[in-house]
Amino acid sequence: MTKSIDITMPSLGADMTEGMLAEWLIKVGDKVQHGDVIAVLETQKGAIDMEVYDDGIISELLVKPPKTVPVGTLLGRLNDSGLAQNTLNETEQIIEYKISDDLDVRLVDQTSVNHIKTVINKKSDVIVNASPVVRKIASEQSLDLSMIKGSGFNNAVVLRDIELLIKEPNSKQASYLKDIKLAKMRSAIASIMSQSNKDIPHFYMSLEVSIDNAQRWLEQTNHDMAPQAHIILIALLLKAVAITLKTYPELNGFYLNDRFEQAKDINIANVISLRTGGVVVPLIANIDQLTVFETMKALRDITIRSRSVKSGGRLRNSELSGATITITNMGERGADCVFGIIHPPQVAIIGFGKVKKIAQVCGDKINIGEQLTICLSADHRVIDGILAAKFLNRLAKILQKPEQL
Amino acid sequence: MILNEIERHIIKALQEVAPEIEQDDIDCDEDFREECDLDSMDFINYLEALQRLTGIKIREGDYANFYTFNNAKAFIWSKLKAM
Repeated sequence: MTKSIDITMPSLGADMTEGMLAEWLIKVGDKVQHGDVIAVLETQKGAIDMEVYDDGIISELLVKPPKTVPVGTLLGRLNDSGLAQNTLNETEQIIEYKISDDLDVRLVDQTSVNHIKTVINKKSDVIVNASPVVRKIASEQSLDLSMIKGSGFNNAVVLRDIELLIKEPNSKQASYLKDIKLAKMRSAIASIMSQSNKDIPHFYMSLEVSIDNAQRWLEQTNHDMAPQAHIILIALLLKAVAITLKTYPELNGFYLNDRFEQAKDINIANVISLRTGGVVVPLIANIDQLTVFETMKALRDITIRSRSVKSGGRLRNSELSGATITITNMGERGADCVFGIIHPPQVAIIGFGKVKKIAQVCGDKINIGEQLTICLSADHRVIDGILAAKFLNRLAKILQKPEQL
Repeated sequence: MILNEIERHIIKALQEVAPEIEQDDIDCDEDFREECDLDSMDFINYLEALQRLTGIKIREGDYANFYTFNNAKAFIWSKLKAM
């Protein structure tokens, strides 16, 4: 029997309230498989490839891009087996989707639900003044008219606003759009971080760790290597954290509905700063099962796609939700310590400080060694001080044997 | 490959990781990593781009030759002459 499956605007974390459907990459009748990219979304976290989670045939596309809708909004449907029953042509299928009070919101956690409800309640419909021609061009160019500052009567978006935007990417209008995108990202970060600070009883702990062995191992491994095969310290640190979490799974999971749920997988999110400002926090799934080389490859891949350095690369929605813990590495920017704010519903965030040369007393001698500070911010509802200290010491120990990672 | 072609490649490789950088922004004897705010991931991506654009082979021991614009230019030039 054919089952109809909803395709909804995904939540890419508790800080996301809405997203813009920029483009469908499939049409009605197309066969899709789990993991296929079916649409491009423009979100507070930048342009994202939207994946489908089920196999089937696209039966309906209900929202015509470009359109900004709240998280959870029904965008389309697919049938999980057999041929699509609906024989209407594509134009007839695309209807304007009305946002009702009781949205079919599919969210990852209660934190998101509460947050999004608040935002939706505050939100009022934005009416954009624009002529049909302007709307047509905006639609073809995947431009969201509500984001454009109109220069016509009553702030109407007129043809010259759109033309300027397309022809002159460095124009005032384009920089205004960029500012809005950045402001949206900042507002998403502000919202989730304020909420975290309010709801989570954080406590902080740090440990200075010798990384002489790790640096030596990296030197040997990278010796005579080409840049594309080069491993950097953070890849080793990520792998070491994943291995340590296997011993201390109490730090790996979610605090939901007043209780801790230990996560099955170890999906570590890594804070990546963007050159244009703001951050994205994509995850690498199951790092405990990857080698250090694979971890480095994955890290490099998500960094390039996060920063959109090479054209065509975008993060996928599955990389922006479901992280079980977060890592932030401020060391390269010269800070000794960084105590992050936990990303709910996670229960911990680990920060790495800069590598410093230090004098080490070894017996009767003084050697020059290297160390860094590992900083842990933990949720006291789940983790106690002694457990946090044990975690840090275990991580330090694991880093002394990088060859075993 | 002539010298200004090498210069173009260095700029292009830098712009692959830091698109906002223009040639005029660069002090030829300053460390790119500081000046263009490149982290270690950006730096190896810049080297990889440079390798692809110029056709020279870059190895870990050569990295220090790529920290400044002038050093990178001289190093690529010497490598190309030896090819």
